[in-house]
Amino acid sequence: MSSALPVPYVKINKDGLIQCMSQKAIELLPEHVKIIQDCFDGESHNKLAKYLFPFEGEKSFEANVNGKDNPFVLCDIHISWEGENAHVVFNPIGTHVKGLEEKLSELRLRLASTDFELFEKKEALEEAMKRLDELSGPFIPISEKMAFVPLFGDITESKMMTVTGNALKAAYEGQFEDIFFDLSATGEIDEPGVQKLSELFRMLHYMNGKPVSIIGIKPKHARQLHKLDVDWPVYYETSLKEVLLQQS
Amino acid sequence: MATSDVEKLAQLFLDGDHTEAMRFIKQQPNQSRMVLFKDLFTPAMYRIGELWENNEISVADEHLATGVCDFVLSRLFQVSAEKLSKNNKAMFLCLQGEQHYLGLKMINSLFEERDWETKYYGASLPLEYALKSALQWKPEVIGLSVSIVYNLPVLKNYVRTLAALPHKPTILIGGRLANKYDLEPYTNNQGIIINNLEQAENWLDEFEEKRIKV
Repeated sequence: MSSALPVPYVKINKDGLIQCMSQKAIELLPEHVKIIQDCFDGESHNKLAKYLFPFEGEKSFEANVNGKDNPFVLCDIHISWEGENAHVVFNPIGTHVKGLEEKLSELRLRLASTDFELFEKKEALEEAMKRLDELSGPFIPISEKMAFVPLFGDITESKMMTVTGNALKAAYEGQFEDIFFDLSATGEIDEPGVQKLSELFRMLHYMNGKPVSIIGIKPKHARQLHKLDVDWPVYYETSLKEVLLQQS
Repeated sequence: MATSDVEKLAQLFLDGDHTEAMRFIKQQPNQSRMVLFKDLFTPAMYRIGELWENNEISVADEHLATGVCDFVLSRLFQVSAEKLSKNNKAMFLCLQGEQHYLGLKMINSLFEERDWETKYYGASLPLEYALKSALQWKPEVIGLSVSIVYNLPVLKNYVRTLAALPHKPTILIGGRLANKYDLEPYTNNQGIIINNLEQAENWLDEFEEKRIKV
């Protein structure tokens, strides 16, 4: 056997006695090691024992190897038998796991410094915010054919996403011809919010076959919408009162 | 506890599913920390060790499971900041180089449940830091944990140094090795060996009984 094999390699007999080893194995394993068991950490012996009798083909397993400089060198061990002898290759994988260990250690520190009471309050708050968003765009059926969605507060992306879910579900379940979005109680409108709202209007248009109507636009909104160059597929009406008068 | 429950928890840890693991623990009929630690958490982590021995999982899987178990323990058994009547103080640490900290964390949690004020240092705390902290904070109890034979030689030094502190703390020694080997030679008769969670609880009972008598 050439000792220049580029991996730690050991050849053993049935009794586990080492017959020869590669240069890399000499570098890895303890000095004057005679039997294969001595190459392994005590707690890996059970694992090793399962592979020390001849078998067909090759097998591999993970074990801690007794290194020259380090008592735990985690290795993938590949082993195959050829008659009376077994070929054992050690592939140290410690470096891959080391990165993982470091990440785990970071997480542990983070965990130690996390105030879970605060963390749970934050989660509860997020839940409340979501609920608030849901309540900020209620879908109100006025008649069989008409529904009314007042938008309360600022129009933000997260709020519009919540409103969209509820509105689509309600519009699908009912058979509404006219859906009115009321901006009378709306505060600020930002661009991502407008974007999401446009998507909602478009989706409702597809579902109903008719554009939705917007009412209660305040001068402030008109300016903002103009600035954002909004081209919503909608009808504009002045107020719910006007609409209801027209309908009756 | 049924084996299947242990297997299930071990699998949830290995899957990295902390949400389901927490739900599973919360559903247990007996919510005593002692029972959960003894009958579920500990055997589940031992089971994971067995799976590695059987070549069914890798060390990387074990690391993930450890992280998830740690998270679940932290999340479910946190200290309430509102309890004020703290009487006794205890600090817990693993010897330098020792990375197996989950058992220690559970012991720490049992002490907290009994209204002890604790400092939990977790994995690998060098003796000089332990000494500095113990000098300043003066805990009645210092709990040491060791799980790897290779880390044993330093145990003697830890015990001797910490037991010699002027306020004479009680040194408790635990960890997986306490269960497997006789650690007595390493303690200089200056420490109490705790083999498992139950012994820790018994020790606490006795300690508190003595307190009441005094």
